[in-house]
Amino acid sequence: MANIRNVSGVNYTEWETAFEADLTSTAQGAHTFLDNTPHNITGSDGSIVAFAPRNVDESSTFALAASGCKIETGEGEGTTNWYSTVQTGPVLYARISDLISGYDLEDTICVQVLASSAIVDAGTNGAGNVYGTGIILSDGGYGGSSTGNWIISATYSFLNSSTSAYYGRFGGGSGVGDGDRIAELTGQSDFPSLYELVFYPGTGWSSAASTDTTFQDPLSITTARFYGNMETSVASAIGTGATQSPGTSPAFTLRPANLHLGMYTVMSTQSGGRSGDVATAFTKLRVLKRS
Amino acid sequence: MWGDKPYIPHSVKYATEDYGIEIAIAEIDVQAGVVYIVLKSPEGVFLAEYRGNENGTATRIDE
Repeated sequence: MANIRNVSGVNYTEWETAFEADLTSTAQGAHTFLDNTPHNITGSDGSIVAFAPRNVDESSTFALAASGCKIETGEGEGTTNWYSTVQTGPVLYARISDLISGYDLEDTICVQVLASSAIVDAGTNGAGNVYGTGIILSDGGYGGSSTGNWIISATYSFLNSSTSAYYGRFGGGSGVGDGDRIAELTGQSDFPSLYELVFYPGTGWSSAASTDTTFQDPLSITTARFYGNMETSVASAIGTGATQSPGTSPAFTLRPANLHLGMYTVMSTQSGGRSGDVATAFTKLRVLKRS
Repeated sequence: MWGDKPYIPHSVKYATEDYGIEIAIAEIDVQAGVVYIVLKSPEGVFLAEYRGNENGTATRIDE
């Protein structure tokens, strides 16, 4: 039931929780995603949503257990990344339209995930290997494809570093350097435990991350609060050089018909030998909407 | 993590140390193959702009 307030005769909808789940609950049932099969996650209201794993071959552990949904990867797997059109990191996906009943372009959505991070083994080349983890909103793509449309709220740390960075980024575009544009908050002594992504109608988005261990009100987190725009399929300069009008139903790159929520972990080898092991346990998630 | 520019995080670290700040917002952009790093305070106040170099250093370019 939407929480509606009325101001001067106009109805406004407050944030409402569309789906919330405790991934550490025994009610979810133990499941390994390494067999590449989806699994139903049960929400606090009893609703059931299918979550599907991708890039499972690049994980050593990818399972739902008492610690939550644990994704572990390391030197035994290939180098993995979420960068530009490279989408090789092990990720657990669910369709936003399954998480939010009736989701459409009028809705602003907010996704929050609680997680714990660990550099299990820093290995012998900590300066050349990077741990990365976070949440993603994407078109559901994965693998080393030639396209990539996604935004993330994430963290990274070299395996030998005592600090991490919290960052926001969009993926997509096939040009050189298309994946390099990011905004990050440097010098953080702890990994985030709460990740947030807000996606506005159309293409605007905002990311944030913090060390909060409980869910926070949408858009209330101030650390690593970044904003961006995700659009590659509709001309950006309307009226001056544009080849398309905005239209009544433009084919946004990310749209209700294809939007997915993902939770991912990577270990990217930047230079030298591949060594080490990293893991993230995603413990709780919730999805909110505002119309 | 940074495609063909793995030196980006090293350049960011170099820039923050050069400026003398540990916790900062770094906005990274790439234009014509050149890496630009804008440092801001955690509150979003502009501090300095650097160019990232392939050897992992950074050169301040706003002064």
